[in-house]
Amino acid sequence: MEENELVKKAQVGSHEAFTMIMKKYEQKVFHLAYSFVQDRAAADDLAQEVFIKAYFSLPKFRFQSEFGTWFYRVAVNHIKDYLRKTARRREVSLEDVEEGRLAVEDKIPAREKARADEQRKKMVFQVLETLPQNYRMILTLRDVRGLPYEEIGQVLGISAGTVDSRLHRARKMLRKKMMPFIGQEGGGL
Amino acid sequence: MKCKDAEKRLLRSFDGELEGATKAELDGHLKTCPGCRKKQSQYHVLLENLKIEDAEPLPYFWERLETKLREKERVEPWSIWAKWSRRAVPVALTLLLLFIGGLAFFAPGEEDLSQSEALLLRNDNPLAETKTFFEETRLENKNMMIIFAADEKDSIRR
Repeated sequence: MEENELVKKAQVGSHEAFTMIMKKYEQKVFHLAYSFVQDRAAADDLAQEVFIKAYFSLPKFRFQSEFGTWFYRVAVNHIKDYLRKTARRREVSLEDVEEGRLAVEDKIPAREKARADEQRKKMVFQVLETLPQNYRMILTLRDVRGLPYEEIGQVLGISAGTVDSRLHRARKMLRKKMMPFIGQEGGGL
Repeated sequence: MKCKDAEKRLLRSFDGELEGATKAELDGHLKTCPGCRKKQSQYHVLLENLKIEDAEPLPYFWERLETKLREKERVEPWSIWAKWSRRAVPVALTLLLLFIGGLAFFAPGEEDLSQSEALLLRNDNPLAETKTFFEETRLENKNMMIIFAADEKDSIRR
């Protein structure tokens, strides 16, 4: 059965149709949430909230866009609200960073290197959290999730040109904020 | 090429958005500009570190979700209205239009009203005219009134 047919059935109360559609999006929504929170339990909660919101918002879907785009938009808006409520403008401590940088520069065993890689990632995501929400959103959708420009534009309700310019500014800001922690010869953190 | 333009193209190159000639220009600039090469390396590391491995939802995702949905539906009965309102609104509007149409169709017209009914509708006393007739003392005037009343008989049913 086509997706739109299933959506119509779900709109008039078919629980089975709703489950069939949502199972298709389970992974996508969970991964999206995980990209923002990097915590399995928190992402799981967030994904469940998105599905509940979608369930009650389903009658408002008017088939004016692809269902997938509409659903992704519901998810992104919910995540935006969540981030706003739990905004943690954390300053990145130099101690955390030093640990990451030294770990790369030293010749160290594989286990230590894996730990250092993890630290580096953690630090980049900590800095990402401190960016304005628009920038955080676009960097996550593009550079973490790898969504194409067109899809990002549809989900955020902006043109591909705006996606391009906003992404450019966001990446520049991320680099600027990371400058104190980036190795002077480039690359090493 | 200026370093500012090179940075723009450099960032687009990470998305595979650069065409042949533009890419060649950027490569040429990078060969001669150590500052931009450094930026290239920094951006590369940053973007690489933004890539994460996907995790899986916790077990029994759907079972937990279904339980929550049932609870929510029980707690929020308005949600049933939200589900059906999309249909209820046009149905209610249609019924309202039919009702208004029916009223317009069956309402009595002005020509069907007796003079007394018309006067009553205008909040006038229907006996005022009769009273004037009885109060008139001059026979001549009384006769004239009878003649005019007879003329009106064809247009307004008494």
